[in-house]
Amino acid sequence: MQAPINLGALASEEDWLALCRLLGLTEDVPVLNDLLATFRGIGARGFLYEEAYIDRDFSAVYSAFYASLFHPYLKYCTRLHFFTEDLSDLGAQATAEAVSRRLEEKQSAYLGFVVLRPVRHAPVGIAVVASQKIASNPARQIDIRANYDVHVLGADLEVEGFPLTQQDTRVGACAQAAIWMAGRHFHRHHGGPWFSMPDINEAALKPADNMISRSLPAGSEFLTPDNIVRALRAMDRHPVVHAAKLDNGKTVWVRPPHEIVSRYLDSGIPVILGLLPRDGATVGHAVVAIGREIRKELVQPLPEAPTWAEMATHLLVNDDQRGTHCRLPIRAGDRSEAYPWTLEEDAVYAIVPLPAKVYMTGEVAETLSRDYVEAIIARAPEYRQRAQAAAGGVLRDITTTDPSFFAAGAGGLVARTYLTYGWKYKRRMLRNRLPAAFKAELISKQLPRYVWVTELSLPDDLKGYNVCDRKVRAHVVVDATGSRFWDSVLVVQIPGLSMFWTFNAASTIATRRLIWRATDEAKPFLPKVRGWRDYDACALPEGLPANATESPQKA
Amino acid sequence: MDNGIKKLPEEQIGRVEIDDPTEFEQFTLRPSKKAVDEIERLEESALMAEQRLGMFLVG
Repeated sequence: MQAPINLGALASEEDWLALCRLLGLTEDVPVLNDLLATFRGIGARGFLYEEAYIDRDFSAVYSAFYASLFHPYLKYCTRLHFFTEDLSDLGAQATAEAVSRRLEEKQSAYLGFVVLRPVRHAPVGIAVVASQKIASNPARQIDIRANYDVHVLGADLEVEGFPLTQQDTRVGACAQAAIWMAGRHFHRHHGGPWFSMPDINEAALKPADNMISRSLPAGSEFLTPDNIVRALRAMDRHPVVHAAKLDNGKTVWVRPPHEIVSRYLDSGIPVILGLLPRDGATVGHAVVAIGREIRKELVQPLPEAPTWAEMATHLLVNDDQRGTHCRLPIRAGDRSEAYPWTLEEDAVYAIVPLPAKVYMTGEVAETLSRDYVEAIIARAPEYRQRAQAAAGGVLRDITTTDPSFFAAGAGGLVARTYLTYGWKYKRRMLRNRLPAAFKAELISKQLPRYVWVTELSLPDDLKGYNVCDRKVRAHVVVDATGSRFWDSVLVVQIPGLSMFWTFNAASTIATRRLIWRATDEAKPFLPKVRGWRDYDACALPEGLPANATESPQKA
Repeated sequence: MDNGIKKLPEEQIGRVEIDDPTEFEQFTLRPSKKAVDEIERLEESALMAEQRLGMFLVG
């Protein structure tokens, strides 16, 4: 099969209309309209269109469903790529090799792609938009992203983003689309299994029950939370479900849902949200939270035990019916006509596809972390007194090491809790601005595969969009495989004191060992930044103190 | 630190190490009753919510 390629400029309104004609769009498809508007909004100036593209996902749907229908359907999809520049110079290349090489040189201009299925009712098979371009607005933070390889005209391109698919109502509902989006991210970013839509249906509908059999094909119109959990388990995820109570049609959460979602987004885990029916629908809707829109600073008054989630005004969600990076207002007061739901009023559940070997939720880890910080502040004089001899002199009153931290107390600190690999935590902290004594202790400490980390900051430490300007004063590390009630806290660090719980490897029976380090050295350090393995981007010029409010390099 | 990695000057400054079980019990920290109550409240609420929303449909 020869695959015709079209190139075109997107410099004017007429160019965009011409592209729509080329795609043969005869029906109004909101999700496709949104994608085209998104690519236009992030600076698309040229496109490359493959008129015949064999898509692995649609091939799976075709062989499982469309091939069995009386009405004939095509198997071939098309694929549309967007660039920040006109590609007309490709047509001027003298040889095929030159075309391929020239296209590969366009990597920095590549914005992503849309695969279009040959079915008019649900044309968007998969779309990935460059998240870096979406996040060029500093208020937008895309937490969940992975690299997607693209092979076209013998050139290798790459785009980092989160995939969007549109539900094909013949074979699935928004729930399957949400599962597919989360699952594809785990496949690309964490090496998880590749699941097609038929694979998801197979996993979600076993065992079958009467509820999902109320539509044909079974499950094509809706899924229950159980069905979603079954599919995620089949993908080697170990989901935890956070749910509200419904009280006269209103949702009541024991903890605010934006706090819950933020912990998992900060952990790099997409969250599937179930939303109440709106716009006359009889069933609810599922979307995938992948990022946040944040304020420049916290707004007072803060709630009790405040968290970093208070910085966010909107969640960014991939909505299979409306588009990519849709702005879901967090608070009811921010409801607008731009999107039918708000998290506060409409979120019914949040399904978090955790990895295996996580036996504690972020909420429990944060509760433990705050509790331990409060306790260590209260007992700090006792610990420092015991450490005097080893300190080689008299240690100062601990409150003088960071007066603003101790004046705020544990209740005034803003928590940010996330799941991370133990080895990544160690790598980051050894490259962070923590006291040398802390690093000397940490370097040889054994850590589990996954740990919960709670960073604690003062409200003013979190001002601005530049992550290099943000500060953390204290942190706690909790074993994600640990018990909720005992022996799970591994490290507690506050200014002037850090404590490490570990095993006594020399003992023939399981005994615990406690180490602490008391110093007068205490300086704020940097928060974890998703995708950063160190803090070289925040390197300070010689002589500038680490707690300087301005840093020379923007994140 | 084991043999093979240079001893760092900051390695022992202000350092206390306890592995005697009695001393360990004296200095270790445990979750407070308030924290345990809060964790139990979180878990109870999760169970109650699930019963109501098990058949919530999305599509």
